[in-house]
Amino acid sequence: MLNNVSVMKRIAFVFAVALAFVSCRKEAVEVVDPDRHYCYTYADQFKTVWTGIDQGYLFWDHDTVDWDAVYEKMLPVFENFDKTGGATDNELTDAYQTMVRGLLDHHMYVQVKNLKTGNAVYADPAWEEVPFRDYYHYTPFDQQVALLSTMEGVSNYKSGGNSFPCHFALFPGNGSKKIAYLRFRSFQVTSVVNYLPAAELAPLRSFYGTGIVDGVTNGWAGNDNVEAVIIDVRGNGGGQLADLKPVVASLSASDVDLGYSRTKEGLGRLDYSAWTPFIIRCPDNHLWGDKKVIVLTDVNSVSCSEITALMVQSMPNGTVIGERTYGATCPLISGGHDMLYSGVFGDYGRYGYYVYTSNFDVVDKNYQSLEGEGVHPDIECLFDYNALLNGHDNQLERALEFIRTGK
Amino acid sequence: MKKRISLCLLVFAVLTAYAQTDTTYKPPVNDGTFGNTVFPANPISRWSVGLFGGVDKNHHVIDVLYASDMKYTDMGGKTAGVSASWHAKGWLSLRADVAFVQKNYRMDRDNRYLPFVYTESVNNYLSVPVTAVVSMGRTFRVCGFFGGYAGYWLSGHRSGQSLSVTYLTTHSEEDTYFDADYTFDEVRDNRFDAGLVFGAAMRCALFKKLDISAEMRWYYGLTDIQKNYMVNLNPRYNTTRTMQVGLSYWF
Repeated sequence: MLNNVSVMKRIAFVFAVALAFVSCRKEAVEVVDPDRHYCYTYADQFKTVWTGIDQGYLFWDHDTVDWDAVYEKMLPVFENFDKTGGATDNELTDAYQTMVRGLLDHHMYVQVKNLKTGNAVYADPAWEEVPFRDYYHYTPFDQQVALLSTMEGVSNYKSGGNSFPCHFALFPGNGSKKIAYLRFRSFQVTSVVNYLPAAELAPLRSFYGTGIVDGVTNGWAGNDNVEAVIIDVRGNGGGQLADLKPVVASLSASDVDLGYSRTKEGLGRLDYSAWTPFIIRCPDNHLWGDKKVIVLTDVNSVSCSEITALMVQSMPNGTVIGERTYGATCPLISGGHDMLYSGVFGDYGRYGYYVYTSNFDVVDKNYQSLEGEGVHPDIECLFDYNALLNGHDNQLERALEFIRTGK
Repeated sequence: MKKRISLCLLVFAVLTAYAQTDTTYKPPVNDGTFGNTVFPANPISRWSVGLFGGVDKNHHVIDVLYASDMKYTDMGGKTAGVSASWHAKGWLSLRADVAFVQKNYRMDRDNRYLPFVYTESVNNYLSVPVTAVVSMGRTFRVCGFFGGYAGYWLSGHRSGQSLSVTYLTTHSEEDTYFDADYTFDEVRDNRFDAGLVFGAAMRCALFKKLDISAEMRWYYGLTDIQKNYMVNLNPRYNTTRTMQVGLSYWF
C-alpha cells in the first residue's frame, strides 16, 4: 500500500509531465500589419516591406528567391543606414533593388520614402529582366499610330485621343471584306463607356461607327462585312479586367476558358486558396462566330494585354502575332490586401511605403504559370525600327498578311 | 482548453491514486451470463482486443493575427479503429489503438465584400495512441486514460467558395466554387502528427469475454501541421474530441 505522500508525489508527477507537454505548443508570432504601419527607421521600413511580401506574395511556391536569406543579408544594410544617419536616394534604391532582385512578379514595384531626403525611391524586379531580353525595345506608340492613316487601303481611321484611348481603322481584306483594327493604349474602355451618359455616348458611337463602342455596348452584331479583327496591344500597359468581356470575349463564339486562378487564404507564405476556373464569359449578344481574331503583341504588352493574348490564343479562331510579352500575367486589384491578404499593400502618403504586386496567381489549363515569362506568340514577328523609319509597321503588316493569305 | 485538460488530468490522477490505494479490491464473481456479468475475475496479464467507432469534432487552433475577418470554426468528422489492451493489474492496463480520425475545420470570411468565401477542410489522419488506463468497478467500470499518440496525415479534401478572377469580371458566384482532393505541399505540410491523448470511458461487461464501452477522448496535437518553412511561421494545431463506442473481446 502506498502512503499518502507517495500518492501525492505521483499525482504531482503526472501533472507536471502532462502540463509540460501541454505547454509545448508554440505561441503565435507577433507581426505588424504591413498594410498600415508607421515606420520611423530604415530598418523598420525594410522589415515592414519584407513582411508584406513575405505574407502576401503569390509566387513563393515556384519563386526561386530565398526570402529568408534576403532578410538576413539586407537587414544589416538598413540598420547601418540608421546608424550612419541615413542613405542617399541611390543607396536606398540599390538596397531595395537588391532586396527584390529575381522575384518573379512582373507587376511588382516597391516605393519607399527616403527618411533622410524625403524623396521616393523605387525598386522593380522586372526592370532587371525585361530590358535585357535580346528583342527588347521601346514601343513607338505614337509613330506607329501616325502611320495608320497612311497605310494602303485604310479607311474609317478614327482616334479617340486620351478621353477614349482607342484607335480604329478598316483595312482591305479578301474580296470585299474588311479587316477591323483596334488599338488600345490601355484597357479602360468599359469604364469610359459606362461612365458616359447616353447623350455623350451617342456622338462617340457616331464617331466610331461600327467600331469599339458598338462592340462594347451591343456586341459585334451586324459586322458581316468584317472578316477579321486585329486587337493591337503593343505598348499597352494593361488596365481593367472588366474590358475583357466586351472587348475580347465578344469576339469568341463561346466562353473563354483560360485556366485557373487562386489567391491567398492566410498569412503563411504557402497559404493559398484553391484553384478556381478562370473563365471570361462571352456576352450574350456576340455574333462573331468563327471569324479570325488576331492580337498583336510586343515586349511592352503588359497585364490585361497579356490576358487578352491568352484569351485569343485559347480561341479556335485566334492567333497571337508579334513578340513575347512582358510577363505580368497575374492580375491585381487596388486595395485588395484587406480582402485577400495578398497584393498591393502600404500607403506611400501616410506610411511612407507602397508595394504594388499581384493579387491573383493565374495558370493555364495545364497549371503552367506565365508570370515572369510572358505569352509567346503563335507567329513571332519582331519589331523592326528601320522599317518604321521607312514608313512601315512590319508587325501590323505581318498580321494583315496572315489574315489575307492564311500564312 | 487548458482548464479542461487539467480537469481530465485531475480525474486521471485521482483515479490512479484511488486505484492504487483500493485495498478493498477483490476478484469479482462472474457466472458469464448477460446481465450478471462482471469483468474478468483475474484480469492480470490478460489481453483484450476491440473495435470502436464514433464521431468527432475538431478545433483548429490558429491565431489569425491581423487577418481578423478569417473565422475558423469547428467541424465534425468520424473516427474508427481497433484497439489492443494488456491488463497489467486489476486497476491498470496499457492500451494501443490504430485509429482513423478526421480533423476537419471550416474557415469563413467575415468580410462584407466577400460574404460567400469559405473553405471546408476535411483531413484524414491515421493515429496510434498509446495510453495508460486506470479503472475501477465491476459490471460497470469507470476508466480514465492518458497517453500520447503519433499519427500521419493521410489525405484531405477541400470544398467551398473562393474569390476568383472570373468573379471580378462577372460578379457571379458561378465560378467561385471548388471541391477537390487536397494536394499536399511538401514544403509546407507537416504530415507527421503527435500529441497527447486523454479521456474517460464507461465499460460494461456484456458476456464473459465481451464488454462494451462508451468513451470521450481528446487528441491534443503538439505538432504544428506546417513544417518550419518560414521565419514568421504562425503555428496551427488541431485539438480533436471524439465520442465513440466500442466492443472488446478478452482472451
